[in-house]
Amino acid sequence: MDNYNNGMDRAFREVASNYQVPLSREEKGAIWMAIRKRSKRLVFWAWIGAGGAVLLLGAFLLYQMPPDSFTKGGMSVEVVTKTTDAPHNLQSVQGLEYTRNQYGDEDVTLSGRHDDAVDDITAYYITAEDRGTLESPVEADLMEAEYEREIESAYGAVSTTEVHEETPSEITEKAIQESGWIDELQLLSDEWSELAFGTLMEGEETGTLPAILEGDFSDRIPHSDIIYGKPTPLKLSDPVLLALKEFNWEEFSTSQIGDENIAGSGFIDLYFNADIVRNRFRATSATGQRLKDGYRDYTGPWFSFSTGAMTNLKTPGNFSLLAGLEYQRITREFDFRRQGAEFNMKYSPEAYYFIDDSGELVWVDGAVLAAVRTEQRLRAPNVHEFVRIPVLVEYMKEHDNLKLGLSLGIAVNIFENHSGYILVDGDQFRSFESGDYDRRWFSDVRVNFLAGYKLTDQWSFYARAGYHHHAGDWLSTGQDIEMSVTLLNLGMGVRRSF
Amino acid sequence: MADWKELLQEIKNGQEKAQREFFDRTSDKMMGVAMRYIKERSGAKDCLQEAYIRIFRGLKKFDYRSDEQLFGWMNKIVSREAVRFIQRHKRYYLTDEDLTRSSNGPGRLPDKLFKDDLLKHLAELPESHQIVFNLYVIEGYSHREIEEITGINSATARSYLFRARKKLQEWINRKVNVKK
Repeated sequence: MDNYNNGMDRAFREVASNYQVPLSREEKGAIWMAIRKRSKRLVFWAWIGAGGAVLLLGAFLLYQMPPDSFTKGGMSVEVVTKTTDAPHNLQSVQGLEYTRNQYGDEDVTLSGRHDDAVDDITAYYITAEDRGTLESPVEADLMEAEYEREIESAYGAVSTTEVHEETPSEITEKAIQESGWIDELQLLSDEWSELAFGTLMEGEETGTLPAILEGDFSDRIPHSDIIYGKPTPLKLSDPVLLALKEFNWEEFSTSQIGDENIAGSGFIDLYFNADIVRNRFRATSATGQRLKDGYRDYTGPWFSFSTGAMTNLKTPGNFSLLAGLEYQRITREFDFRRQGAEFNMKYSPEAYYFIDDSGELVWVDGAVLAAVRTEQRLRAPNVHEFVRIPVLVEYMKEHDNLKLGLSLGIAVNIFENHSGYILVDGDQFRSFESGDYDRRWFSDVRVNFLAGYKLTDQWSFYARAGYHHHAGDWLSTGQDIEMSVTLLNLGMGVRRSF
Repeated sequence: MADWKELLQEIKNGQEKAQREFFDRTSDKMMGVAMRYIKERSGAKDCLQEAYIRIFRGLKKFDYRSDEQLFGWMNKIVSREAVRFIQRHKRYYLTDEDLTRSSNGPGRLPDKLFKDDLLKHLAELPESHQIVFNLYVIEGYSHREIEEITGINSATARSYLFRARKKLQEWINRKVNVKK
């Protein structure tokens, strides 16, 4: 039986191996085109899937990243001592000697100043009768501790105690004004305070001196936890799918396919552009002009790139209708600097006593103004992200392997996110709020010039130069200033034809 | 006309013309394979379309050694696709029928078979028998592989194979007797 089966099987195999069912030319053509279109569809969705995955991953990573970074600026600390009517034997005044010693210290801390600062010392004195209450907006625990330590070292603990017992703890502002040096102090105070803590002086605590010394500005700088609300989840769905539906890639059956169904060809572009961003301000008032100047001073150059994938809808001739998905990221450094000062006027026992020729302490009276000069600097990238659907009409002319093309179109936003800071009048800034940079759905009009080279039947490489004009006012802040943005981009890409 | 090896290399290089030539040169034969499973011509063409997508995808990694190896590989793809097609269109329902006992057949194969009619009679078999016979005898799948492809368990497949052989044997016997 086995032998028989073997023989019969062999016979069947032999017959089957030579068995053919001839297909007509038309049938072959129809099957072949169905195969091509099925393959194209698979490849298309593979590309779209890969591109979508990359975009989603990118959006996810961007969402995870902190919206900006805060850089604390360098800070210098100086203590300026001002007295009136310096005694003739100034050098013998222990307190001033002490101060000079401090200035001679190279260590830039509260207890030490640079040498060159010594020249800035002017001694002012007020009389004992004028002593009053000294306003002390900043707690100067550190300074006091330092002073006490030094005083103990110079005079011994008892002297220090005596000094504090004998010394009025406060001097009135009136008394200081009458002394004649307050004008200068006030001028200095006003100037620096406005520069440094304009936002803080109105009923806000200025913070402790040690906090300032440690460079802790966290309670002063508007934080950017909430820049622009919660980013909208990235939706790739509706507009893209609507566009893709135009492909009409239904299941092909060979019985439905004829040569007339296969005219035209499709392609997918993958591209990357680097953009040169130019902005133009239009100020409608003096306020707007100040803001314009502020942007010039506090913002750096733009950096921008965009990347995306596009595919074409079948059109006759050399024209193609393209649609796709594009991601663009535009960044600009926001570099805001302000200088300022924290003042600590305190009753300084060293300045008020000196040892006379008989070796006794003599009351001189006076005040010490400790000014801590600071520089705050906020450096944060202003980031604008867009996910768009560009729709273009492209005309492409081919000659051998060379291709030249021109495309015109628009782009609509499906997602945008902004983070960073914006200037407000009064030399201030704030973080982005919902509505700033609001581009809504319409993004830009664009024109591109393409030059391509056909590498194989399927693959082409192309370079592209484009001009994109963003529509409307970019700075929808309700202030008297408008900003328009245009982009010149140079890019490259590959085109996969099907 | 390029030989197979050369043609396959061009296909690997992404040349569409080579793909088309390959299709033109092999499609009649593959249509024959498809029609051993699917009786309707339109169905066989649809099956062929799916099979060639797999073939072209697989050709990129195919290491050509001989024509037999190439066509054996393609036959398997087409036959698998044909079975899928049949399953998708629910043209047969697989049942676990009792294994029938074999009867003793002729001791040897007649010297001359009516070869032209062999496949015609194969096509007259019940579809499930025909599929198992094709897969096992002609494509060379094992019963385990047939189970994976068709879902017909090995015992049932053996039964179908036995019945197919028995029917074909009866037909051969009749032919031989007529000839005698």
